[in-house]
Amino acid sequence: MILNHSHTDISRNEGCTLTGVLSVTCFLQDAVTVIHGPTGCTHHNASLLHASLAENDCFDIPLLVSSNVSEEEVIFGGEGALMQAIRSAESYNPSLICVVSTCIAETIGDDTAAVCRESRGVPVVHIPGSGFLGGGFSDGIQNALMSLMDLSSPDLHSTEEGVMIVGEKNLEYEAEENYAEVARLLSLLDIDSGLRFVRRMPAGDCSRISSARYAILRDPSLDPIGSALSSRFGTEIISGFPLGLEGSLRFLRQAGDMAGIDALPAIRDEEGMQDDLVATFSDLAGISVSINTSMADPGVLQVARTVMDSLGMVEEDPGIPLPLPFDPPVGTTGVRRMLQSWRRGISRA
Amino acid sequence: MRQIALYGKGGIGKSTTSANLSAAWAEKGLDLLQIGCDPKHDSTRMLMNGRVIPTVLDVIREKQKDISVSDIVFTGYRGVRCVEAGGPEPGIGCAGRGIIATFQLLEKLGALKGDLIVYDVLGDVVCGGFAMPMREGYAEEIYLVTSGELMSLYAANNIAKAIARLSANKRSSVRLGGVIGNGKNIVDEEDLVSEFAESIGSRMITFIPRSPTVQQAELNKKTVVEYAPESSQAEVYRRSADIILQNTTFHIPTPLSMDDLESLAYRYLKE
Ligand SMILES: Nc1ncnc2c1ncn2[C@@H]1O[C@H](COP(=O)(O)OP(=O)(O)OP(=O)(O)O)[C@@H](O)[C@H]1O
Ligand SMILES: [Mg+2]
Repeated sequence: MILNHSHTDISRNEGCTLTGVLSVTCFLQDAVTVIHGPTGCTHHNASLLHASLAENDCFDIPLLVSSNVSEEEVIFGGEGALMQAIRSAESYNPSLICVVSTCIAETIGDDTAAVCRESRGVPVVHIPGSGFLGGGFSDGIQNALMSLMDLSSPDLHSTEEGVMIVGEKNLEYEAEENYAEVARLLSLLDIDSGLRFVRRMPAGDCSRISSARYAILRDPSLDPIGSALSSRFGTEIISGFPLGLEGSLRFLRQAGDMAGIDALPAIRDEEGMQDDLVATFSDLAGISVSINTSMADPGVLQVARTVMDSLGMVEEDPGIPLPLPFDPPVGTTGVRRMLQSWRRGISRA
Repeated sequence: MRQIALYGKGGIGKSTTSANLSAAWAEKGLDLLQIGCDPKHDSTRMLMNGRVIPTVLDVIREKQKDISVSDIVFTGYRGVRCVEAGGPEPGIGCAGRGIIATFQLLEKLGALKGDLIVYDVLGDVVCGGFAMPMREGYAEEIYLVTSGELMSLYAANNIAKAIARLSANKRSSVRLGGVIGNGKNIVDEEDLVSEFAESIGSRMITFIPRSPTVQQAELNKKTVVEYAPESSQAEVYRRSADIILQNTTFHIPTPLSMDDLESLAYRYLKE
């Protein structure tokens, strides 16, 4: 039994598990997601996804099917309604159907997993999505990745050279830029990026997950996924995207070690790029600034303060308030974007 | 209109007792409504001479719209109106929500009427739905049916807890009307049940002995009151019906701790 959560914690990571799951499954191409619960769960999440994606200039609403659980299904069981919803999803000829169970399905005890296991022409994967069992948004992402991993056959062991990118934050504003930065850093080592598990990935590629020799997790919170990948498929893991300037250099060293490549030349190149960056923003030296630490992620604060130091900015009260990104800036170019927003903030002050 | 509910451990005799009490009250000319609140839907069978009536939830499921009183209320022995809530297949869905839906429909159709409404509720109050008959606006008098067996007293004590908790709510008027002893041929059973009733701040309002007539009547698909009207068992049910009808003392129970309950039962334990 799960008894926790503060009544006032509305931070994003404690959001709805279902939304976390959908932030993954909706980025599988040619898959349909069935939400086993009342229509409201589907409707609410569809509008939320629509709004988040529109912000990122993507206007396709992902295909969601609801099992339309109503009081009748609550009383008599909702497995029949789920089967119907799966049939309706099948009519779109997807190559994968993801079935996400909601709070109500878990409360009444529907055996969603068993319904999904029934053999059909198309693979159907069950992903637990009910938040009342103690999870939040991030747990939803993990549940989805964990369940999708089951679609991969373990015999494909480590044949692909490309590095798999795991658990990109699909709803974040800079998801593409962050991915591009990781790909750029890898390219300095002549390493290709491979599967994006999951971002705009063909559903059929789930079978190839086990073949990736290396994987980079978006965030250390995905460590359980990393452990599962390495214990099941022998994948080698880097447990987070490069954060800030030093993080980028460390990342190059880690990736080089992992792939058995001498990273030193790449690190020298990157240091050069970082020196140029600091020089470009030398106009910020000596400026008094302040940062609002109350809501900020500790990782963001750490990167921000290191950058302030290397630029010679002065943190004092009162200073010009600096805008902070929600997530720590990824790579050297992430820091550049943060600095650009600081410069804009300072010039407006 | 009086509304009473019988609660007690599974298989203890709630349905047998309620059906016989309803039959006895109906013989006195009272307008009775008996509602079986149990997915097993076997509360009113003897009143319906063995006919298994469609349950409210079956009707809701099949008909959805335009449900009328005649779809769910059936007239049995001496005009007793019988309703079975019904429920999902065992092991699926949520029976408690089913009870809530049943009550909402009965209310909407204005079917909750008569001189006396008897709610026969499933053995264990496993979730909020089964406490529905005790909520505001429904049964205000609860009778606990128990034998002298420890587990039966234990179940009765648990329901006493639910009554105590619900009656703490100012708007709730639910009270314990008394304990109905239903015999299991245990030595000194009547005294044991009576002492239990007093120790939870109530009283044993009647004791119904175990009798083979009950099974004979059941095999003939009748209540004892209908099948063997002259029998001493029928007399017990009629007398019990009178006592309950005249009952005017209701209590908020004071449930026992498990230890106290066990030592009570232990004192009556005979080698
Ligand atoms: N006083 C009695 N003498 C003999 N048999 C009895 C007596 N009371 C009940 N029984 C028998 O006990 C069995 C169970 O009774 P009943 O179905 O009324 O219990 P219940 O409490 O309604 O059970 P459930 O919780 O399953 O609904 C029946 O077969 C009934 O005939
Ligand atoms: Mg019964």
